[in-house]
Amino acid sequence: MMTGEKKQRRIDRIDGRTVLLLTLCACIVTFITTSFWGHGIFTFWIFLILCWFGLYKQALGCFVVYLVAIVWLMIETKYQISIPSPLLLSMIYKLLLPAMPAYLLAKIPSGKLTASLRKMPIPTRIMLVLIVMLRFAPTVLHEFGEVREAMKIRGFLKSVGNVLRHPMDTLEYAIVPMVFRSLKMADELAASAIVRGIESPYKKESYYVSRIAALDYFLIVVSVGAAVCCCLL
Amino acid sequence: MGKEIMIRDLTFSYGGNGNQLEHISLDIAAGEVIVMTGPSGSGKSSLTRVINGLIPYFYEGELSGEVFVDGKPLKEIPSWERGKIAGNVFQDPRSQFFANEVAGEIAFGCENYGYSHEDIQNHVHRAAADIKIQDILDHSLRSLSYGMRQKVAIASAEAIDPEIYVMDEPSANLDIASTYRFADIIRALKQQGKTIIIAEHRLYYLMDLADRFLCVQKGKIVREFTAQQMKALSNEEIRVLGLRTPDLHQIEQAEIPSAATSEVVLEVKKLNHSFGETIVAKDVNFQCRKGEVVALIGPNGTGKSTIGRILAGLLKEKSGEVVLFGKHCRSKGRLGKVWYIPQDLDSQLFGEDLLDELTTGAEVSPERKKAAEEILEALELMPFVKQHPSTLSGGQKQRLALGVALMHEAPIIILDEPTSGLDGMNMRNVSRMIRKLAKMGRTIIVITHDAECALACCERAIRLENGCITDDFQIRGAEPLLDKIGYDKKEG
Repeated sequence: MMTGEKKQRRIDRIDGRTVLLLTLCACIVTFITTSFWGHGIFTFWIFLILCWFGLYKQALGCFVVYLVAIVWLMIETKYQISIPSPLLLSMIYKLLLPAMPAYLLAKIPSGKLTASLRKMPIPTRIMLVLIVMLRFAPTVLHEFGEVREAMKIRGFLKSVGNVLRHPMDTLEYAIVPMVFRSLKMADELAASAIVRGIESPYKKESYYVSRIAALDYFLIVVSVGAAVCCCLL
Repeated sequence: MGKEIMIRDLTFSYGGNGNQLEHISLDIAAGEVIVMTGPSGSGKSSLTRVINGLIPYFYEGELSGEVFVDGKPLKEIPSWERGKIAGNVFQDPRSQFFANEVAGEIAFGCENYGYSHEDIQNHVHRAAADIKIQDILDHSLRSLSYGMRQKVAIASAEAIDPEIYVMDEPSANLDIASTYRFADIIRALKQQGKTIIIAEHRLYYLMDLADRFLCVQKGKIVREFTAQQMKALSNEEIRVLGLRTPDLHQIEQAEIPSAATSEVVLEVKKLNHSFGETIVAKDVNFQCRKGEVVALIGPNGTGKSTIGRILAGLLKEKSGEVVLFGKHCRSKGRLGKVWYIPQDLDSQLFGEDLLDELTTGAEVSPERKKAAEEILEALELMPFVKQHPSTLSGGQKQRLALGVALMHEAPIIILDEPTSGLDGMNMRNVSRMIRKLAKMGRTIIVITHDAECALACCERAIRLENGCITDDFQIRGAEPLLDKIGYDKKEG
């Protein structure tokens, strides 16, 4: 309980724009750098940030998977092994880096993130799309879990062989109810937003304070510096 | 003080598909609590949507007639401004939330209406304190029970301090204790002089709150009752009007002979499960016989659905044993034998029409087609056979889900809240179908808060609280069941 409160307070102290920048830096490093060391150092920096925010389990889990993927890839390269696929291992370690700050982004209260987005020079239409995407992503994941359960009950996911023999059918069974449910929820959500004045012309302020503070400046300077250095390594 | 509403000769149809509302004229005084009840599809929700302005702005159609709020025509008020006048609470809080945490959700309306940061904080904290949820402002909405989510929905409406509240089936997903707490909130709003309009099937919790009950049928207000007149209705009159029973003590248990045999088909032994530190099943033991219909009752969030999903093989138990037909059965082996029908059926529909829904997933031989037709006939769904499953009403969807279970010859069926959001007539229909299936030799477990449904189709009840079985008893009359679900335990 205490850990939860501490984590919440620390997350409350950071601005959404800082975490967005962290995610952007992670994406740039992962796609530009060719050095294992450069990539590894930046991943370790993000690992430290996640730990500082109290997300120890997730940080450790990601970092262990990251290390295993890299070490395995090195062994494969040295001994000419190709199981599991080197491409798969590369994808795992490359994508884990941006996934880590993205996870932190998902932990920020959506209201706070919206407040941060509103302070950025983004056109309103694009911002609305971003906000709706952020709102809808967890819903879609939840709904997909329910559809997967229904498919399990019906026997559509009885075995891997069954799925591989009928890939298009399986895809259809997954997508059709998802589409119907998402359309219904989108409709209800839009109605709820309209009756609560989303279309009002007033200038909007937020429940949360969106301000770049000392902690944000520190994270921005160190992260941008680290990203540049790691790309040059 | 609340605002008065005047409706004059209102007629509405969704794009020429027959009139949803027909020549409705209604006066609602400021500070009045009005309950609209009646069968599903009768026009209750449409009427609430006209009052909150969603019709015709968002739900388009042909609208004639006028709505006045404090003498001013509603159509002269800009659509975005109507939310300041009327606060809304919908049936499913999941799809009305815009934030992922409580404070952000309560603040949403204030943010939209241009309040300053300080004002937003003040309004959020005041609304949270009024609804007594100030301790959970930083909690994730997903982690909350249905009861708490509904409180957040009300706080979210209250933060803007509207003079009118419009609620559409707000108690559909609440257990009895949460429903009474919800009634207390409505009482407090009434004392503040707010005008409150509630479209609702469940009436018992509104009997000492509502000033008038309007019975809506086929788009018209056909009857109007005071609480006294409502309570005086006989069971036969309630059935004819297709309503839920206003006083649950009045319910007569259906006298249907038990179809249960002596054969034990399901045995649960020392079942344990937890999510993190939250225990949802603790040494759970019970048996069910062939043809038995058992109600699984207990408060929201007490582990009923989790146990249902474990029995169906969708979740693996932490420890304990599930025995089917005398043999120990692992979770994977239970899939398809114990058939779990969840509360939300929209994500469970795979077919293009009702026959396709029953036969999908395997080759359609003439025998399978015939079997599917027989099942649809037995469930009284043949008139809708060509329809897309998602276009069926809630009660019809439940019957279709039962049909899918029958098609797969599942001997044990678990229904999770099959009658939530159903009107009296549909609730009785689904209950009748459950009895019919029991007669056909199916064992049925009904997870429910709905005493009317349990009394209409179940012969035994198992009560769970904090993952433990507290009671396991034969249902003989309404009183013992009502006592166990806490019907008379209203909090001050």
